[in-house]
Amino acid sequence: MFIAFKEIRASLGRFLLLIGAVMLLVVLLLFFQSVAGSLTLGITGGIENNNADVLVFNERARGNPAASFLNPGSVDEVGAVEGVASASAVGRGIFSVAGADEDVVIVGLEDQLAGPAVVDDGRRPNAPGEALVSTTSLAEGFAIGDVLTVEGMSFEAVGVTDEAAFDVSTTLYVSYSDFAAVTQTRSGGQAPAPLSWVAVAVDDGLDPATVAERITETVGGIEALDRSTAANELPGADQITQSFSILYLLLFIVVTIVTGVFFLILTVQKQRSLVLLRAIGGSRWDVVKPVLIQVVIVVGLGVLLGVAVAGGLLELAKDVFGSSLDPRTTILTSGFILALGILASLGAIRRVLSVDPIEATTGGSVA
Amino acid sequence: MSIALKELLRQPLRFLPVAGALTLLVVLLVVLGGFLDGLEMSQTGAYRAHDDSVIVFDDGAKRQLQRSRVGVEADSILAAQDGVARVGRLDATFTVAGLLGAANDELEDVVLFGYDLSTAVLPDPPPAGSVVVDRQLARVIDIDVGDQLALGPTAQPLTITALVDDLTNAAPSLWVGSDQWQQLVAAANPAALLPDGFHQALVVQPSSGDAETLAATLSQADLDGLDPVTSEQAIGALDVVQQQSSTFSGIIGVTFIITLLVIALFFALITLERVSLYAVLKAIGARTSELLAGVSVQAVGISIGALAVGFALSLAFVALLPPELPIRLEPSRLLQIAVGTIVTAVLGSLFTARRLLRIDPASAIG
Repeated sequence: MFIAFKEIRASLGRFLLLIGAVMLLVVLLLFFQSVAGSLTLGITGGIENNNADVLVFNERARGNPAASFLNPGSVDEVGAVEGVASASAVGRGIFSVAGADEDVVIVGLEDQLAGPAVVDDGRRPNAPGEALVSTTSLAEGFAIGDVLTVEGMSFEAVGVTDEAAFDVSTTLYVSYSDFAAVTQTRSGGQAPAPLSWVAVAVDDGLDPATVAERITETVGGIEALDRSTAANELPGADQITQSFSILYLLLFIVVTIVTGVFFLILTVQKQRSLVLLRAIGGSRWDVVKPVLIQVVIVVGLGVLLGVAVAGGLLELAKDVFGSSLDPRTTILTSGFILALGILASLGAIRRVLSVDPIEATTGGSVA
Repeated sequence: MSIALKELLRQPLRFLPVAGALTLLVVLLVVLGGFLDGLEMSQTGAYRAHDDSVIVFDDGAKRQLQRSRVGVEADSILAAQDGVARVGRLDATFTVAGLLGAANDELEDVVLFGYDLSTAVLPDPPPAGSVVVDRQLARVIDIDVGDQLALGPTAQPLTITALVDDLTNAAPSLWVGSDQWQQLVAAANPAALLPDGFHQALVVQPSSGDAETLAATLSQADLDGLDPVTSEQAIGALDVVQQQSSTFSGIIGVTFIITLLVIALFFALITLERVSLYAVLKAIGARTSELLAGVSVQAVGISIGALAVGFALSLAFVALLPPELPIRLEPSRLLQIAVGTIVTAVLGSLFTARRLLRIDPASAIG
């Protein structure tokens, strides 16, 4: 340990450069993970944290709430299927809010079965002109008591629910009749309020996936999905995951290569000293230990600083990126990078282990 | 300098580790740049297809197509302005489409545009029952001119008359005449219908001169409630695009700093190996600036090699990615990355200047 620390102190500049590089790579990784998490939750939250056990879409919508339109008679047809305890209509549309920069998604609910599972603050709407608001960390926030004007109609936020938004936008859960009113006002009365999907509660003790399958088989032109499948099949979430996975992969490779090559070169440069150490009685462990200690110190410090910087930057830019570090993801990523650092040092360790003390007397010319 | 070059050419293995690390960083930069351009271009195709026109929004819409509502009476007001050749309508809505008769899991999200005017990119609006299709859709599902698409939940049949490049606008786009758009939306996405006599935007084409001049002229005219802008200004108003652009530009900047640190690190290690050789060179009259020039030449050489291999790897890597991922490799971006990498590598190599300056020629003789 003594040698490991002495060497770091003697070559502080080089070790600081590596710590800096690892730190920046960790910052990028954690930043990507946080933003990807916020985006994915902004897309899937409305379904993932919904009350309904099963959601029934138009069969051609591929589970996309924005593309799904059903016949008004679908609610009764779905409600008549064996295993369905109740079925209710849901309408969805994107609307502009007067005076606000961003659009909102309005979800019209025939009853609360189709709403978010949890209300974090306030209550659910129970009168015309009331709304339960779910904001995403990437969209403009609204608080209880705020009044939003959409198509000339005012909605007062009476409750707030986290992580139940659609389309990475602020989402207002209102009564179906209010939704119908704003939709018809926008279209100048030419379009009926659309039925976007049907929310289903299944009988006690039944498996939602089984009931969903039964609904799909029984009712024509629809696709029923249990809540978890519906959230996983939402378009966009998969694309985000794939795109960011590519970046994670590249960053993990760069961390491994940079750390591995640095310690390999360092080992090659001190080959003579290592031979001497072995020649005067140092064991293999005596020469391997400093390398491992240095890897843990350098990568560990890089990770710690990276976590601190990424956390600080995300906190400072919360209005823009709307995300903060998830402790579980941060710990897993940090551990993985540390493991990769140790893995990357295997080349250097192999080189250290191959040191033959006899070279001290022959200059390495003995075969 | 010639010694440095000869060393690079005769002992390339010595530089392999730094070249390998730099190659990976180049791949990372290219992929990040690809996402930056891909995300921006895949969300702005419809606007860029109107580069030669002025787009007119309502002035409360903050230049967002989906928020804008322009009354049809604005058509005649705009047509009467100086420098205006033609005025047309522009509307958009999201829905799904797939080959007629294809399974439901082969449908794709699309954005359906209604338009009146051809541009340098867009052909004349197709006749009723036909559609002009963004070629991106043909990359995701197997379609060609003459095939029939089924649009929306009601599977309205549309025959493809043309495939056009670079029209993606958040999703692959389909283009039909404005009158047909109204009928299709009533069936495919009734919640997106606007009141009779309203459209999301109008497109104005200049009789002479460019769109920028016409936009400026119209802005100065007394057009109550209208906001005439160029396609570039409309893109500039898209918050999502601007945020993505600034975020990815920042990330690319951080990646260049990592590149700088990695190059500095490896040249510090390489220089350490050669302290005695540099001392000899200094003892026989070489100046520090010459040694620094040599190190810089090696950094440039390594960068060029890493760029060549990195670009080739990136092209192969991107070709393997699913076509729906928004990644585009643009020559201008590759040039920026090449110049940035070389400059960063030279700067990184100059981190060794302090050590080179401290080498005492006398140490060559012990």
